[in-house]
Amino acid sequence: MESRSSILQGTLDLMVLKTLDAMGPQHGYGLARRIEQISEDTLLVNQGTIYLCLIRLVQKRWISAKWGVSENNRRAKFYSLTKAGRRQLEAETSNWERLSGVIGRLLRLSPGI
Amino acid sequence: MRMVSRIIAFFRDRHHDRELAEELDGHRAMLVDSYRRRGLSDAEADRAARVALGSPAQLRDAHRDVRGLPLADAFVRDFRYALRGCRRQPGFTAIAVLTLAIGIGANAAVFSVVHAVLIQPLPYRDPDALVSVTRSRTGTGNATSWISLRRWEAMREARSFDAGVYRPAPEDVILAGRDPEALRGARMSANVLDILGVRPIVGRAFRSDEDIDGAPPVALISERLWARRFAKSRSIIGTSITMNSAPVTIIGVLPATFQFPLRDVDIWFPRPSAAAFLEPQYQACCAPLLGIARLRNGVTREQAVAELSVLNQRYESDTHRIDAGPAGLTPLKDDLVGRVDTMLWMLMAAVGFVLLIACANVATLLMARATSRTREFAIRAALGAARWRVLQQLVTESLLLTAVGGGLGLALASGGVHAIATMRLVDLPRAGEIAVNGTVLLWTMGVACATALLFGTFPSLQLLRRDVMDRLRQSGAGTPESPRRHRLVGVGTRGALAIVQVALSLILLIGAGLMTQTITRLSRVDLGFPSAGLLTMRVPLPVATYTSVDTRATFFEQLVQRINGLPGVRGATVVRAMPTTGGLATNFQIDSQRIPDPGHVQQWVQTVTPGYFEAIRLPLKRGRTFDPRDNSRGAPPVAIVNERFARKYWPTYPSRNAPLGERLFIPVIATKSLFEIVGVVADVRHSGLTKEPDPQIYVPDRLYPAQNAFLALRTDGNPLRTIEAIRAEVRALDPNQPVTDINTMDDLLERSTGQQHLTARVLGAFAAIALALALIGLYGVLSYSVTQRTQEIGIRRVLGAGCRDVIWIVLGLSLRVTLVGITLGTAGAYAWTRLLKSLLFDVSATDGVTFVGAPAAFVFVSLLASLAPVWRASRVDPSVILRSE
Repeated sequence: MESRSSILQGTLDLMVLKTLDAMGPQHGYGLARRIEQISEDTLLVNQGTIYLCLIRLVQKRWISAKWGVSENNRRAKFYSLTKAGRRQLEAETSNWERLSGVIGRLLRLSPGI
Repeated sequence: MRMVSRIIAFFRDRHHDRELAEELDGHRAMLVDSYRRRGLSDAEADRAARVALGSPAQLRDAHRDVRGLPLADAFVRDFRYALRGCRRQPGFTAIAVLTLAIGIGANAAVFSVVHAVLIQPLPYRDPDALVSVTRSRTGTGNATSWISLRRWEAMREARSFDAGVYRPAPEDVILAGRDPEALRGARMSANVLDILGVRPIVGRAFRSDEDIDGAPPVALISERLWARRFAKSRSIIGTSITMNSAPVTIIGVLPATFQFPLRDVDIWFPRPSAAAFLEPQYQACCAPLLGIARLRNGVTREQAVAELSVLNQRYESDTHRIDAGPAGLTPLKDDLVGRVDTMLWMLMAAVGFVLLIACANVATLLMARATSRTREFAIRAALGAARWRVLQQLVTESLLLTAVGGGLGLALASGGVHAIATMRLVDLPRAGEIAVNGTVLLWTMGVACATALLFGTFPSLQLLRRDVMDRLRQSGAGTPESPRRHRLVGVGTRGALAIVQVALSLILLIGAGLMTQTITRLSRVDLGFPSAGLLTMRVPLPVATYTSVDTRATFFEQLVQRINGLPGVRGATVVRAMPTTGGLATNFQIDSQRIPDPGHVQQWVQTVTPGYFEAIRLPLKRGRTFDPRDNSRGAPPVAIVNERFARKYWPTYPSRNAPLGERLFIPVIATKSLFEIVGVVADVRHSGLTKEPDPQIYVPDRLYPAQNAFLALRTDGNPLRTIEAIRAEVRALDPNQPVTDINTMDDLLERSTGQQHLTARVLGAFAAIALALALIGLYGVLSYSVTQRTQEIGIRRVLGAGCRDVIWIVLGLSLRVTLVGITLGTAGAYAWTRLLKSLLFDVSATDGVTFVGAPAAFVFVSLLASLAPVWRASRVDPSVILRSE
């Protein structure tokens, strides 16, 4: 599993972290829907795949999970960002920005040079 | 960090699975809710939710892989699956496990022995420098060389080695006390412990001045005796105890592992020539001792042998003696274990064959099982299981079978090892070192893994070879046999396995056949007198109380009288040595011929009580036997010789009167009188059934009764029933006198050919197992083939094939397997039976009868095994076949 496109996996990780940062604790369903909306189905094969990402992040201690009750009264596991997760998000964000800056500049270069 | 979580997750698999399932259920419910809100029907919403979420089973597997240890996880799952599979087919599992247990167990047991006896270095300091003094230049026979005390003293001048001597025979020691007991004693020169590099665990070793005649008697005891008799008390050191009616000071305790020169020795003495049951005048010149030496640092064996021969020459010219001298030095280990190594390697090969046959059998079983599971594998493949995953599962299954079989085998082995170490049939050297130890465990595990791979490979190959999807398309559960051109001599993989089984079991069968013939021929050998019903035992008279010839002679006379008075006893006698137990070989001279030169030729001399020949039923050929007058004090000395002796020294025998009336000079018994020959008796194979009879002289017991003589008697009915009565009679004569080594004559003979008997029994058992397995294998191949080819046979019948043609299809396969197997097996046996050569008696290792008879018998039984499949094939009804398609 981990050998499959690590860029996609990294992106998915970053998105989950960012979503949790922005929206607060979420259950798997909420996260999956949110990511589907944003990525237009490119990151998730199906909604279940989100759980593979979640367990990985839990094991890395970047997020934590707690059972709770959803808005429509269903028992669900809620994931929230940990301190380590926040640090990771910050590091990843600045990384990402630097990288996308580089890529952006690279792509803007005209072929003549 | 993550690894720790993964390991934890691996062990909390169920918990995580449950959590995930619950989470997914919630997720799906929320999806259904949202689809419903969008206006889908319940059923549509449910379906859409399932599609959006993905397969829960696949997700669960992926989840496990991410969170846990995928390889271990897969193994555990395979293991559980394999366990379930085994439980579902208890018959298959039991047969496979039992077959493997026998194969692996037999291997582990024999390997424990081979390892302890042949492979492991001797448990002494720097064992490679230890040598035995061997093979005289003038004498023949034993590889080891007898050394007298005087010769040993000459050898001690050597600068390239340190030599010591010991007595190779056990010595009966009676330990006095509240309850007297008979102990096994041994004697060695004081320096032997030093040469071996063994130190007492308590107390001190012998000092060299304790080797000298007249030194205060001392002894070392075994750790076992120390614990049993003295409760491991240190205060025993330095105290005096009474042994053989004389005081002896205990100076130390030797470790339990010390088994030199014999096993189960409880007490060791210095002064090797002073064996308690050797007549005093013998001790310095002629006590038969064996030599052991340690090469000094940097000395090669060749250098040491060269110095030994120089010392020999000097000794012989100094003393004008040409008694048998030591000429060679052999590595101690070779000398100790040399007489059993052929037998042990041969048995190792035999258990190897048994294991291979077991492997082939289990492989056949697994293949049959894999065939019936083709659809299962095909479905798994269709569901996305990688080929290697299915393979991994098959390997796991073989490993499970082997692990259980191997565990059971080890249990069998540890029982077997104990039986081997304590068996009386063969006096195995180093038996005390035999144990199921770490090396044996490791080796067994290695063998088990190799076994699993070997028999696990076949079904896997079968699986890999064919297109998986092919099978899903098939309607039946079976697989068609592969096209003929791919098949070895047209018999298929199963056939090849059956060929291997036939070949290996034929090898064992031929080996067993040769050994059985050996035993039969041994049993037909005429010992010289009927051995059946003859009971023998030793009555070791302590030197301290029975010092004089008269006390011993009187004791034996009274003993024979008393035993003869017992009900059921048909004749008792006292004799120096029974056949196969050695005895007294001494110098003599024929008075009229002045030959042979005294000191040159030795012959067996038996001292017997009158009635000996009648009791053992040795036929008288000429003259008379001894009567009680011959054994009375002051009677004129008389002797009886056997025919071999008579023919050797009087070539005219039996045509003339000689040797009756001739006179013999036997210096060891009487230097002032001559023995008149009064009779000639039949020959006895005194050195054992496999040897020619030796010339023998018999004289009455009175002049020279043995210290450690045999009591032999014939009884009505079971001889062992009279033992208690005999003990009572001995006690009545002397309350402290023990009776030891109680055996029937048949036991003694069997033990003297113990290696043959053991090998015959073991090979017989192995051959029987192997034969049964091979026939089951052959039967399996044939009936499988009939099942596979039912259609073909049906069609042939429709097309006009007769019953005979159909029978030939099956019989042809049977004969191909059997004949190829027999050819390979005969060739294998031809090579392997060379190992047996030294154990065979009166049979050639390439004995024609066995090499033709065993294969012929094999063809016959293989035809029997083919009967049922042939019958089934001949009963195939064409119409049924046509209807089924």
